[in-house]
This record gives sequence, structure tokens and C-alpha cells, in this order.
Amino acid sequence: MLFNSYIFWVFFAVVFALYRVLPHRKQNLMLLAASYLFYGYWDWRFLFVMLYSTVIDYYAAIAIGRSESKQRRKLILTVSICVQLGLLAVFKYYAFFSTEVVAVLARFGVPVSLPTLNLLLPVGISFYTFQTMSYTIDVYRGQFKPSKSFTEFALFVSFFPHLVAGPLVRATKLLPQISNPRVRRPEDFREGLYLVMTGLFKKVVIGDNLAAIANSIFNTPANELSGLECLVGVYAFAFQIYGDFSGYSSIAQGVARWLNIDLSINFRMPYLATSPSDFWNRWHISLSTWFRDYVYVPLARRGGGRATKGRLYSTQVIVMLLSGLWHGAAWTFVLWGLYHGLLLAGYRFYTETKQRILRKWKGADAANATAANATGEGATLAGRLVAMFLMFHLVCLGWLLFRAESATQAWSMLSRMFTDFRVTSFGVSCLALVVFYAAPLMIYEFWLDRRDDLLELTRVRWTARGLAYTYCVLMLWFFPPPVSNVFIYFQF
Amino acid sequence: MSSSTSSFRNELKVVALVLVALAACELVVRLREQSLSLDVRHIRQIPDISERLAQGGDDQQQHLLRVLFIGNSMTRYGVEPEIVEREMAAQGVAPLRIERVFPDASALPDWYYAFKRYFDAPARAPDVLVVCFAANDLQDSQPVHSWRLAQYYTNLGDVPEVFREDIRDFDSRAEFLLSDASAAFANRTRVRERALDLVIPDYRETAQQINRTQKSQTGERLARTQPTYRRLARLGQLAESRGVRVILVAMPERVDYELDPQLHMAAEAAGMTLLDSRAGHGLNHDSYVDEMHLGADGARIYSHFLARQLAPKLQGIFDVKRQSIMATGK
Repeated sequence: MLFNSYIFWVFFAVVFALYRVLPHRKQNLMLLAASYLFYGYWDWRFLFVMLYSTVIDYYAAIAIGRSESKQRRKLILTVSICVQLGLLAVFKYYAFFSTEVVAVLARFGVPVSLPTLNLLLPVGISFYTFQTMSYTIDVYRGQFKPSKSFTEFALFVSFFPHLVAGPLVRATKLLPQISNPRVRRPEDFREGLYLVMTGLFKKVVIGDNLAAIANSIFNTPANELSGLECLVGVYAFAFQIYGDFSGYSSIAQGVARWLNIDLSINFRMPYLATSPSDFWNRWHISLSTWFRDYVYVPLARRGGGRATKGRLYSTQVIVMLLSGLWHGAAWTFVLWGLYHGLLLAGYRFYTETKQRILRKWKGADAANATAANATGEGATLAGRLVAMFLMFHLVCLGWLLFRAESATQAWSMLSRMFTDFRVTSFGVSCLALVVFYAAPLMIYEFWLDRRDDLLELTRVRWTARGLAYTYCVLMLWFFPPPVSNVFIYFQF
Repeated sequence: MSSSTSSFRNELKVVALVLVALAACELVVRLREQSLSLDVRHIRQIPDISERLAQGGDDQQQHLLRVLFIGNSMTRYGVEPEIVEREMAAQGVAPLRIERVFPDASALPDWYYAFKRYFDAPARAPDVLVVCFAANDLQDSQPVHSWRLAQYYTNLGDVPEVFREDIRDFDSRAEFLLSDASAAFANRTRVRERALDLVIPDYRETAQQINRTQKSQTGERLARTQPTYRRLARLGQLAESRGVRVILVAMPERVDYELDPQLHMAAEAAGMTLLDSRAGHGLNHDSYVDEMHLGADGARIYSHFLARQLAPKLQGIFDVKRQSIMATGK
């Protein structure tokens, strides 16, 4: 059941109607049933995997909460994490790693035959396993008390708006909203409408329409493309994945908002980022913070004491490698993660070195001014625009690795950009289409960024908002994508 | 008034503004629908075509052979009715009344319902229905364009059959109903094409290139599935109930395509004649304006060729019709 399908909206209308008439406890039961129906609509067999994951962590957290022994708590947590990662390993990574192991061993003259599993990847498995893991870790750390109600915990795991593609919401944020009676706030309808409207616009108008261009270019052999066409293919994919994923997150937030539940913000105008660290503070924020809190910080602080610079850099690269692997079991994703890891570490090294030199030669004030520039606070508009332009292209280079079928294809396309930059009518036309679909959103986001308020449109006069929504609806109505696409992040 | 009520009312005004804009678009599309494309104009003329087939009363009709060509833009650009008629006359097949129905990018789902809606009546049914197809146009795997069926080729009575046989998923059914209610929704892809044609340089060529890539991927997927022809069998039954003979004509393309071997059996089972006219003697690379459409010279050559191929079949049908008239004494 996709958010951009009619069946979802019929489903949601029924859920919403029931939600409005039921008392709190029955609301939770109904939402749980609806969430399982929503998930089972893809394939009812997936339900057992999710239920298994839920049951394990529900009891694991209770056992951790009850145990006085640190060692025992650690053991239970380890078992719980192993079960969750085991699910991912079996369903998501087994085929990839078994193929690679067989290939490597064969290269050393050791013929091995590993059994093939041919398992269907349960939709959204990476999201709910990560979410339940964060819950048990939080309980282990004593940051959260284990839930006593299985219904509430199961709803926390399966809550349908964010179940299959995030945002990843921590138990500390979502479980209290499930446990306590929800309050209808005056702004819920307005903000929910805004989030759903912009989400559908991003997903259908931008994501799906640009998917046709990106697919067409990436499915053409690189030697048949000009450099401009390769570049436009990458641009198209950059906006496709942004429209697709941030659109999904936005609809998820909007739908949850109509149910008086707040989900985490997942995107904050990422293509207006001025540096690699700024980009990761704006892109898939819920995953970035997950990796920061549950992987980066523990790894950087391992062994206690202050982490060395070398360790911080290497940890950053390792975390981004894992993040790449989280996105999919393929070398292109690993390379994408490695690329971003190196970009982050390199940028950190650059800013720290620059500050050190400035501090040495020009004093602390100049160094602080440079630090402010690095975060974009003190930069001029022109400086920010240049930084955005550069950062956008660095991100696009990553998208080339991410979207390509293989590293060879990515390299071939990159080579074409530098060796055969012919201006073809197809390239110009596709570029014009990218601008036609994506430019209004970018202009709007630039305005939002200047106002420093993601919900600014909900605070302007209703006529202005009405005109903006009319544009969105007319684009949705009259510019349907050639082929309706599923959300890219479902596969993760 | 509480802030909650005021906030909600403001949002209702926002929604109302959007609805008014949509209503205005609906009105404009309804008023200007025929200027959207030649294709819409042609589709809106199908009732007239059907009317022309019915003209002349029973007496006149019984002494001529009424032939309806149904296909897509390949038929529009590839079959010249005057040439076919002249060539037929030269072959001794006359008098004929030839009409053509050729909605763009259509295939059997559209043709089945177009025939059913406009020609499935005693006076309007042709004697011969010539279905001009290419590649997998006749296979059940052909996408069903719910908006076109809803707006142009079906009426309320067809809905049970459409939902039972051709549109089975919820979303397509919802699109069908929306398209039935709204001309703007049904024509949204046409509006998109017109708008993008205005603002994007070389849009048509680009769209065709993108379509080709998508089609080749879809084609690869379809090639892995076993083709079926249930819809073709339904057309056979429908035609038979009206005494209409069906001839399937495989049209030429610049690059030759494979004809599914099972199609011969399916056509035979449905009581249809399959004519393999892909070769189109005399056609060469330059006869085409693109990968599938014939130019003026190509159309002339092909129309002569097709008429010569069709003539013996039509002569046979004509003879049967004459014998039947003599037997019934009319």
C-alpha cells in the first residue's frame, strides 16, 4: 500500500474515522491492527518477521529492565542485537556476502558451494529492526524504561505511517505519544495538510517524473551518452531520490500529524548544504543521528578517555561505510558510504587544520570567524551560494556511485563527463525537464532556509498557502509520471 | 471563535480555493478538449464514423461491403482508404465502404471497447473488421489505459465487464471512475504533453527516446512471460455475435519484429484470419518517418500492397454475403 495510491487514502479515511470515535486504548488497538493490515498488504508472510522482531525486543527490554547484573544486561542486549542483525543478515545480506565469499575463495582456487536462500526481502526491515534496536539500547543505557504494554510496544514498532521507510523514531519520542492519551491540537490539520501536500508533490511530481529521465540515462550504455547527458542523468537521480524519500517522510509525518502524533523531521533542505557535515545534518536526519548515537559515539569513545583525531576520522569513515551497507547489499552502496566517509573526514581535517593555522597566526577571533563560516553562519550570500553549488556537485558524485549498476558504469559515466562533454538536444531537453520539475521546489526551499522555519508556509496568509497548494495539486493532476514508481527507500 | 475553529476554517478556505481551481480546469478542458490534440478530435468523431457505416439504409448496405480498419497511429499514417478502395476495385472487390478508427498509442484493450461502444449494433456493425496491429498489441499483457476507456470507449453498462475482465486493481478502478467523471483528469497526459511541448526544447524527441528505453525494459519483462490472448477471444465472440468477420493485419515497422507463434492458434480459435503484412513489399528504410510510422510514399506503397493481400479474403466474404442475400431473397 503506497502513500501515492488511492487504496492507501481509502484505508486512511477508514482509520481516521475510527480513530476519531474511539477512546485512547481502543485507538491504539485499532492503529495496531491497521498497521499490521497495512504491512500485510504487501505480503502477509512479512508479518511474521516483524512480529518476531517485536516479540524478541519486547521481552529483551523487560529482562534488561529487571536485571540487576550488568553482565546479564549486556548479555541480553547482545542477544537482542544479534537477533535483529541476524534478521538483516539473512534477509538482506546473505545473498550478497555468500556470492562474494564464493567468488573470493574461487579466486584462491578453493571451490565452495554455499546454499542459496532465495528469500524475499521484507519491506522496510532495515527501518523497524533499527528502531527496535535503539529501544533496547536505550533501555540498557537506562535512558528509557521498558514498555509494559505489548500493544503499545508493537504499535511503536509497526505504526504504519513510518513503518516501511522511516523516519526512524526513537522510543523516547514515540512511545510516550502512544502510551498517553493524545491531544487534538489546532495546528494538526493545517500542518498535516501541508506535509501531505508537499510530500505528494515531491514524490509524484518530482521523484516519479525525474525517475523516467534518470532510468532512461542510467539504462543506456555509457558509451552511447554524451558527458552532458551523463551529468543530467545524475542531476535527475539526485532530485528523484530526494523527491522520493523526503516526499515519503513528509507524507508519513503529515498522516501521523492527523493522528495527533509527531514524528521526527527527516530532511531539512539538504541540497542547500554548504559542507559535508551540513549535508548529513539535513539528509535522512533520523538515520544520521541513529548512527551517531549508537555507532559513532560508542566507537569513538571505546576504551574510554579522549578519542584521538585519527580515531575520530577512521570512525567517521567506518560509520559511513556501515551506512552505505545499510542502504543495500551491493558494492556501489559500500563505495557510496566510503566516499561520504572520506568526504566528512577530509572536510573535518581541512577545517581543523585551517582553524589551527589561523589560531596560530591570526588569533582566536579569526579562527572562530572561520568556524562560523564553515557552518554557513557568517558567510555572505554569494559565498553560501558557491558553497551550496560545490556541495551539491559533491553529493551528486556520490549519487552517481549510488545509482550506477556497477562501479564500472559509474566510472564510465564520470569519464564521459570529462572527456566528451557534447551539448546534445537530448541532454538539453532532459536538463530543461529537470529544471521544470525541480527548480520551483529549490526556490521554495531557499526561501524556507532564509526564514529558518520548515513550516513557514503554514504561518502565511491562507490565500498564499492556497495558491501554493493549487500549484501542487495542478502539477499532481496534470503532470502524472509516465510510470508510477514505488518508493526507492522501501528496498532498504 | 476559538483559535482551533478559526485555524480549521482557514484551511477549509485553502481547500476550497484548490477545488475552485480544479473546477475551472475541468471547465476549460471540457470546452477546449478537441483542440488538445488531433487524436481527441478523431476519437470524438468515432460516432460519426459509426454513423457513416450505418448510412444508406438496409437496401444499399446489403449491396456493398462495409470494412472498418481499427488500429493506432500506424494505421492513421500507413493505410490510405482511397488507395485501398481503388486497388480493391481493380482486383474486382467492389463496392466497398471503408472507414478507419485510429486512436494514438492504442491497442486491443482500446479497440475492443471502441468497437463494442460504437459498432456493436445491427446497423453499425461492419461486415469486416480489419485490426491493424504490431508486435504485442493483441496480447493480454498490453497495459489497459483506464482513463481512455472511461472517457472515450465505454459507458456505464460496460463497467461490470471492464472491472471483471480488464481493470482489476483498486487504483486503476479509482482512476477509471475519476476519468469517467472528469475530462481534465482523463486528458491530463495530453495536457502535460501540450504544456511540455511549449516549454521544453525538443520535448517530443526526448519523450520518444525515454519511452523507447522504458518500452525496451517492459518488453524484456514481458518477453519472460507467456503471452495469452483472452481479450482477442472476447473480441472474436463479440464480432461473431454481430456476424462480423475479423482480419488481423500485422503492420510493418522499420525494424522487423517477431510474430508470436501462438497468435496463429489464438486467431484461429477466435475464428479470425491472420494476415502477415509485415514485409510490405516495396518498403525500405526511407519509407518510414520514424521507427514505426510510414511516410506519404510508404503509405501509398503499403496501401496498395495491403489491398492486394486483403482482396482475396474480402472477395470471399463478399461472395458469402451475396449468397446469403440471395438465399434470404433480399
